[in-house]
Amino acid sequence: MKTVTVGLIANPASGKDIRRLVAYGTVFDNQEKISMVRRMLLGLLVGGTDRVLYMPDYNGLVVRALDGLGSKYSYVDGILRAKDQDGPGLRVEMIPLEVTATQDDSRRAAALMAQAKVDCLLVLGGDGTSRQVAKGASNTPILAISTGTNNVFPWLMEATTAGLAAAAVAAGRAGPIAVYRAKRLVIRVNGEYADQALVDAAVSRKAWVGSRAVWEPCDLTEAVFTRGEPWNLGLASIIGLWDPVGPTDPYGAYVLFSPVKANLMAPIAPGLIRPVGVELAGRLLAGQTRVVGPGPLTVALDGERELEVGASDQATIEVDLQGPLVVDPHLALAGATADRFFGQPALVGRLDRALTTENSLNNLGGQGNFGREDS
Amino acid sequence: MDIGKEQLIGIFDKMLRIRAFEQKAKELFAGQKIPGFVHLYAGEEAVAAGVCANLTVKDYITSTHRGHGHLIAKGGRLNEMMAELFGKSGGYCKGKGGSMHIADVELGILGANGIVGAGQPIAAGAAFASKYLKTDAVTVCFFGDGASNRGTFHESLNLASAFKLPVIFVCENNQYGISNHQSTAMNILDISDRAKSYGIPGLTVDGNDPLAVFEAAKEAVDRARKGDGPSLLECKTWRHHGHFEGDSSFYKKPEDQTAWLSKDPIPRFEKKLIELGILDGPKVAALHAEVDKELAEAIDFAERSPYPAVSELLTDVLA
Repeated sequence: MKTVTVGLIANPASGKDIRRLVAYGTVFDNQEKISMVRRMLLGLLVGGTDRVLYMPDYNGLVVRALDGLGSKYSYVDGILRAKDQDGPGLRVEMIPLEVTATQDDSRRAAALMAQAKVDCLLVLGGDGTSRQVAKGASNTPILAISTGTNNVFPWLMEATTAGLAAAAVAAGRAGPIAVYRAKRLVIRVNGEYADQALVDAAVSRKAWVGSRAVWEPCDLTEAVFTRGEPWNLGLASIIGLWDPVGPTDPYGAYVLFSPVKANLMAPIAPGLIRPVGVELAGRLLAGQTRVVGPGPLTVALDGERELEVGASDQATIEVDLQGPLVVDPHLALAGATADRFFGQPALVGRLDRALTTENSLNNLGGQGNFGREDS
Repeated sequence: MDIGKEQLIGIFDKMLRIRAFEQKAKELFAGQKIPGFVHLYAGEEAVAAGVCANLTVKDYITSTHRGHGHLIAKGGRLNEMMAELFGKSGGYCKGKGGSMHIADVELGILGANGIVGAGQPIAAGAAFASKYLKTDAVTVCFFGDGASNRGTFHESLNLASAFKLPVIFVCENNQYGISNHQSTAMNILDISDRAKSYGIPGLTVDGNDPLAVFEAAKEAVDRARKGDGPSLLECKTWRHHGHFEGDSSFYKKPEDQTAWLSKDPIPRFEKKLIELGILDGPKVAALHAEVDKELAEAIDFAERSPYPAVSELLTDVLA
């Protein structure tokens, strides 16, 4: 029988940038991330996943998550089980990755996990983390959960149900529409591939990466988007409130900013609703590019200044339909529900016996009453 | 961002000054010219220079046992600093304080400090004074990851947040408290996480990038000056040398040392300024030459300065 494997990438550095100061973002501390990882692991355990491969990190998020499960669970010989259960449990293994404490860790981890043929990647971080994971794994479904600040790509949802959704996707029980191919933006400098973005690429007059974040619309000359909807926060809100583009529409969009006028109020960071001047906006079909430069300027990818373009350089930003495979966790859970995924008797052996009355356990596992009657 | 060419060169110049001062201090300590202990700041220059570029002479800083960089960044004079290291009467403390006790109240330097975490309540007190006296001065408190475990840290952040004091707590997280890696003594590795407990902004930046430090410190200083209260700015960095001179750093992994040396803030910033057309080879060489000249003068000043007279033994002794 196939071993159902989920890759787990949790970024300890997300949610701590300068937007705590320039906007009203709060510190997303690592204790909360550890708690979320713990809940994800329990979702995966009960969701029937056989194996988790996780990324090591400088804060030891997964190690500390396992350490804090308490007496209701055991983690012995690399296997997580509900206490008093002797079933196969969930094998939790670290991938062999040298931790550099840079964003490249997420990319390299995703590449190693894709190589190990994980069935789904469960990601905890922001747009920046998701961008790195997508660079490392373009053909493995990514379910990204938000810890960041201006998140468009990752979902804001409870970690437990995210774990269950990833388990359903990995088991191939999430239905046919839960996973789709996202768009991306490909950035080239002087014709050479330089980087990619999942949501937006914005051209800033700032000549250096510095503290990375973008929070002053007046610094921007133009931006290209794969998506942007009215409920988004961050730069994507600009196109989202001007002429929305959905994540599965087969085109992107661009906006040229006016240095003098303001004709839109956009929430570009938490609590930071700023006037923006849209000079010109339009659609960009797949393969179409915007040419920017020469510098000195920076290109912010998914809200963070990443690429410095020098005085003699020119950059292009292209909309591309070959982005990563993305999980919609709501559709995944709906698909799994329709498939009676959460009614499998096999999952009972993963429940915490101490939390379940003997009577209900007997009813669930022993008498064939588990789940709904189809009649 | 409101930063001009001259200010960028100024930050770079401070970084060069700090590095050169520390290199000389290392050599002079090895040559037995400097008594006591020295704790070198080399590798962490971007933090002091990036933060202090946002301060004026009326603002305050508190420093640490590893304080030379903070003092130079805030305008401390090399002659008096070097003489103090030599234990000579021309020094900032008349030669009786040494490396860890240099202060210059006129410049807002409220002192280096030999006690880990001792600067935090002093900073909170200075910030309280500014608020009480209704000046618009702010205070920057430099400290390390180890000091964030002291009671003084928590007491100071508690009161600073409760009173909305104009203070910026700048943690230079070089990952080691003497020889202990953070992970052996802390359950929380990002010091900025601790801001949440006090309801103040906390953020982490690359402490080896002076532009990242400058941008973050600018926002934190503006916030404090406007009366919006304290912030906790964590700068991840690395000390190039041992905890003190004579410490071989045997507890550090060689591969970590190599990786961090490749992120040395000075060549990184120099490269950036050259790319931006702000500096070129001859201009960099001229800056180095000026720093070398001033340091040679400082050493000469220190060597020529007399030791404190025996009659000074009980002067300025308060307890």
